Amino acid sequence: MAHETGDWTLTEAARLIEEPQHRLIYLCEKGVVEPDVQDAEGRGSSRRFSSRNLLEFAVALRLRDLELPAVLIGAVVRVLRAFEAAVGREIRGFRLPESLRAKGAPDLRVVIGDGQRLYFTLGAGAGPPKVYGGIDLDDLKEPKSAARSRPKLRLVKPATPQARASGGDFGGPEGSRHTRVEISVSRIAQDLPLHA
Amino acid sequence: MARSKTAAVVAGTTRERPAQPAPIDPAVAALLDHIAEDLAREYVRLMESAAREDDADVSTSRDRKGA
Repeated sequence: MAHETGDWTLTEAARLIEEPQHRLIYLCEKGVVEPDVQDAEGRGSSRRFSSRNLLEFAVALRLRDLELPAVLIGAVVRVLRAFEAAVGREIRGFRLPESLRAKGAPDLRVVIGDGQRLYFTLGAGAGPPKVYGGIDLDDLKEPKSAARSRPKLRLVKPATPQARASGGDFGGPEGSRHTRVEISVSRIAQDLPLHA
Repeated sequence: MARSKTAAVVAGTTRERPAQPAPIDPAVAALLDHIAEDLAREYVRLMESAAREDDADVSTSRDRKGA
């Protein structure tokens, strides 16, 4: 690693996150992870990755393990990048994954509710996390042609405590009724062996 | 001499298989960015709240020592 934000080759990145190189290449070629340090642009040029890229790989690969489509994974990575930029405008020095590894950092999670909606949750301490998003996964698929009308996008409000109570204690803060998949971005960040 | 796909994989290059970014509808992209902004606001709020609690703990600790 050459500088503060990380500079890893493909081989080094694959070794660090204990994944085969071809899985990382797949995510790059799908445009899910864009190498921060250097992209491959031709013969003799190889990709080089930042610490943030390592977090993106790790999160993306957990989602791939669940056989979720690349476009959904790309959406998650996009939110992480935009989140980092937005927090960085308010908190100097905020950086992924380092800032999520700090003691007491809020817990950022990705939730797929009922196999159909994408949510993010953010919480700290004992209080319930707040829920954001609720994008229909169908809306993440390829852009519709101009001739077809695009379905209206909408954010779904998290279920109220009363609604959650009527559905039992299963649904989590976003109110999923039958199934939910939850991935902790913060925990993945904390477990990255960046200083190994 | 043409390079084999295996060689390209080892080097981590995309010469033989150009990158094909997953397309996202611009409206969806805007929605994702909006979610990120909301998450960021909440993150900042939580961090500020934690900082205030830390300050209060320090003040309480000082008061006890001073008493």
